This record gives sequence, C-alpha cells and structure tokens, in this order.
Amino acid sequence: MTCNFEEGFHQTSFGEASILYEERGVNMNALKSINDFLNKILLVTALTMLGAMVVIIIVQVFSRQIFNYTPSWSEEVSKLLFVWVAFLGIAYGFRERLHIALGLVIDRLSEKLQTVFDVFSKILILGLSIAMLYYGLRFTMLMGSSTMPGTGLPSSVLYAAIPVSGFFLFIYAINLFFEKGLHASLEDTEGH
Amino acid sequence: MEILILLGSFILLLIFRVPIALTLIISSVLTGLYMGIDISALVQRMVGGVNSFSLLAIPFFIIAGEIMNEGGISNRLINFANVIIGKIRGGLAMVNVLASTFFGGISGSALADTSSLGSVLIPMMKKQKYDADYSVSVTISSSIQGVMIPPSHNMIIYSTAAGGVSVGALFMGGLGPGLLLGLIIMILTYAIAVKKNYPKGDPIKKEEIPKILREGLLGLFTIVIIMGGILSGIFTATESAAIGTLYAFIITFFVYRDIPISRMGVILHRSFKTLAMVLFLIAASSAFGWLLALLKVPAMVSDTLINISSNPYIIILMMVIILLLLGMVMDMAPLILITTPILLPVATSIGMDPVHFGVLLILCLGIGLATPPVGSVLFVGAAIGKIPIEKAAKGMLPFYGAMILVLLLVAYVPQISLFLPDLIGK
Repeated sequence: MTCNFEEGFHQTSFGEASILYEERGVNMNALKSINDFLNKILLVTALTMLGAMVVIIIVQVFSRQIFNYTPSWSEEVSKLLFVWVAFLGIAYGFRERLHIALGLVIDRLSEKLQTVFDVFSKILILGLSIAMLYYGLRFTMLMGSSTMPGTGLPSSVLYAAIPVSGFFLFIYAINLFFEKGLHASLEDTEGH
Repeated sequence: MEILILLGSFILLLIFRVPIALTLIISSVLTGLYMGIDISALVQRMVGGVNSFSLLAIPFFIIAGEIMNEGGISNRLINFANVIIGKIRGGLAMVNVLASTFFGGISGSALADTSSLGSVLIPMMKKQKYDADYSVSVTISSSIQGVMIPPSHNMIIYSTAAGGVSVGALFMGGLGPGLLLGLIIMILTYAIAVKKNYPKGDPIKKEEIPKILREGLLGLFTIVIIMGGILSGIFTATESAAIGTLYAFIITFFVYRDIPISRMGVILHRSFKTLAMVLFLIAASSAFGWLLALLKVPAMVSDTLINISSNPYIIILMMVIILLLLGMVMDMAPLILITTPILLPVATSIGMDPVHFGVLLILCLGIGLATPPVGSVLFVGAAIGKIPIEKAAKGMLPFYGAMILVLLLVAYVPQISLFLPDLIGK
C-alpha cells in the first residue's frame, strides 16, 4: 500500500512539473537545454580542476623529495584551483540539491505551505547569484592590478571564480523556479 | 542589536528551511549592511575561507575514500574483520563494529561507513536472524568511530576554525577516543549478542585467508602512509593526503582491479558533490564567524558560562550539553565552524588543551549524527534496514548509553585524547 501511494505521489509531481513547463510557453525547452549544456561545461571544468589539483600536489611532493626542488607555483596554483572548485560547487550544489537545510519545522507543514517556503528560498538563491555576479565582478576588477606572488598571475584570476559561479547560479536559479521542491529526499542521498 | 540581526535572521532562515550555507551568508550580509561594512569585505572573507593550503587536504581525503569505496574496500574490510573476530558469538555484529574501525581509517565519513558497510552487513545480519533494530543500531553506532579515527576531514575543518591547531596532533588525539568508542560498543554488542543468543559467524575457507589478510592490510596501509607522512614531518597534512590518494589509486586500479580506470570520472564526480556541500559551508561560515568575532560574541558566551559557574567540570559539562543539543538538530561541518570560535576560548580559559577540546567537540557532534530529530547517519541506517526511524532510535538506546559513557570519559580524562599526541611530541 505504501508503495502505491509513493508511486502515485511521484507521478503527480512529474505531472505538475511538466504542466509548469508547458504553461510558461515555448521557450522552456530552450532554457532547459541551455541549462544542461552549461552544466556540462561546469562539471567538466570542475572535475578537471579537481584532478589537476591532486596531480600538482603529488608532483610537488616527488619533486621536493627526489630533486630537492619545490616549484614556486605549485601551492598557489592548487589553492587557486581549490577556490574555483569551491565556488563552482556552490552553483552546482544548488542545481543538484546538495546544500543541506534544516527541515525540522517545515517538513511537518502541508505540501502547499512547503512550496511557499521553497519559493522563498529560491528567491534568496536568485538574489545570491545576482550578488555574486555584481560584487564578484567589482571585486575581480578591483584586484586586476595586484598579482599573486608565486605565479605572477593577477589576483583577479582567483576572484573571477565568484562572478563565473554567479553566472551559472543565475541560470540554475531561474530554472529552479520551474522545478518542484528544492531539497533532495533521503532516498536520493543514500548512495553517498 | 547587530548580534540580534545576525543570530535572529540566522535562526529564522534556518527554520524556514533555507539551505544552511545560504542562511549564513544572508544573515552576514544583513548584519554587514546594518553595520555599514562593505559587502566586498564579506566576499573577501568567503574566498579567504577556502583559499587555504591546509584545507586542500579535505578533497584529497574525500577522493581517496571514494576511490577505495568504489574499488570494493568495504567487502575486503568486512572479510578481514571476519577472519579476526567472526568466529565468536554474534560474529557478524562484531565484524560490523571492527570493519567500521578499519573503515574509519580509510574514510572519515560516518555516513559513508553506514551506507557502504550497512548495505552489505544489515541484510546479511537480518538473514541470520539478528533483530533488524539491533543490526541497524550496531551499524550506526560503530560508524561514529569514523569521525574520530584518522584521517578525518572534520578534524581538518576544526584545525582551520581553531586557527591552526596541528593536524598531526588532532589526528593522533582522535585515535585513542575513536578506538575506545569502538571497544565499548564492541563490548556492548557482544553482551547483547550473548543475551539474545545470536549466531556465531560462518566459518571461512582456510585457503582464502591469506588473500583476505593481504588485501585487507594493503587497504589499511593507506592510514599508515598518511599518518607516517604527517608524524615523521616528511609531508605536510595536505601532501600526505595527496600521497594517500595516489596510494589508494594504485591499490584500487592495479592491485584489487575490481573496477576499470574509467570509473575515475564517476569517483571525481561523487567527490565533487561532497566537496560542493562542505566547501560552501566553510566559505559561508568564514564570513559569519568573522562577524561573530567582530561583535565579540565569543567573549559574551564565555562570560555567561563562567558567570553560571567557575567550576571547570561544570563548564565542560555545559559545553558538552550545548554541543550535543546543537548536534541533534544540525550537521557536523557547519557546527564545527560556528561553535569553535565561540567555545574554544572558553575551553582554553579553563585550561583545556585545544586538541582535547577539538576531540571532544567532534565526538559530541558525531553522536549528534546518530540521534533524532535530525541525524543523517540514523536516517540512512534506518532506510537501509527498512525500519522506521523511531524503531531504530529505540534500538539505539543502549548504544547511546555507551556513547555518553565514552563522551564523559573523553571530557573528563584528557589523557585519553592527549597521551598519543604527547607520545609523539606534538
């Protein structure tokens, strides 16, 4: 019996989502495919950076132990990549519903009220994305003249992670308004 | 007034089910606006929060854990534990606890422990007529060792939040209490198994034993490399973590060879997902924590606590209760980041060692992972065992008792946490 109920529940949620998409008119599919395409770029970038980070530190260790030589850039570049991974993760996490929230109170409310609170959160997420774009760009330009000691790269390379992530988040946040809910259910997270 | 805005908006937004990291940012921004602080300063704090070489160890430990996990480490550790302890009464339950001890040495995540060991062992235990709630409780409570036994990325988060307490000392500090927790839970598990007359484990084929031992030890050698690297001073914690990742990579893809190297994409993806969550929290907490310090909240909390009682034992008890209560409703990483700058000064003012406090903090919050109303490990364990959360929590009762016992020992006998770090002279 529980099983039937759950199946029915999922069907309605899918049904409502597709109705939402249809109601908003013709461009929804376009938005969705832009969203998916951008997400692929983000994911490939972030995973490459993550892999590169590990390789750089391993190379640094061997280079120091064997050749007694520590490259001046290795720590700085891996930290730079780390900041980028962290900020890309902010945007990605909202899309994949990874960012944890406290459901102690709202979980007990009716589904309709829960949706209201989810929409409230989504507005805040959209606000965050705009703030990241605006302040991030301002900060990045401000830092254009200072350089990082190890590599000589301008510090704006570091801070550019903020507006770039803000851009991704902006697209994701708009898309969130056309999706139901905001938080992953427990079944989705079980594998991790 | 500023404090009211900061904490009030934080609590309100938390209740509204806004993601925690976002909550931290918004309450920081609101407070910043009220105080006339340039938002750019907060942005800089956020970047600064993750722009740290010692935090780089976190992705490496997570990736190493994911590689080993994907490569089938859980089955190997289960077999390994089975060879050691499986023959006695309640064999499978004992294997569960011991395998968690080993697993803690590979991954610092209690959640990963419960979901990977639990999904193998809970169905096996149920098949051998163990009660479902007992199977789930043993799995959940033993997995809490993982946050204490090194390498533990939560210790690194604490080290950063505490302003650079030695990671090597913290890792050694967590080892004693982690093993003690494992031991006490094992005794309890055995006592219940004897009382309920649960079966002994299945005998293992003699000819398989050497392979099981070899593969298990090879996996566990990861922790030797990491700890050896840090303690000998050859590597920094971050470098050790990177070398540990390399080792996990070699063992999984060239020795175990259960999965093709192409699985690295999936492994990195899964690591990125965990990182996305943790790093956002770290970045957001940096801005929030900076404001807390600016508004002198830590001093106020410590004055309040010291006003209630000047007895260090009472103050420790109050801190433990605060941390347990917070841990019951919130997740570990944000709490480490928020409570450390507030409570660590209190702890040091009554003469607690920062390593001792860190271990106690992580243990309190770790127990919180296994308790209702919000406990991710409890939820996942109950879901795997297919029992309601209430039933799991009820089965947990004796185990909560064991955990509280260990917690009190760790709180009031500093040597449990400090004798290993002292031994290696950190």
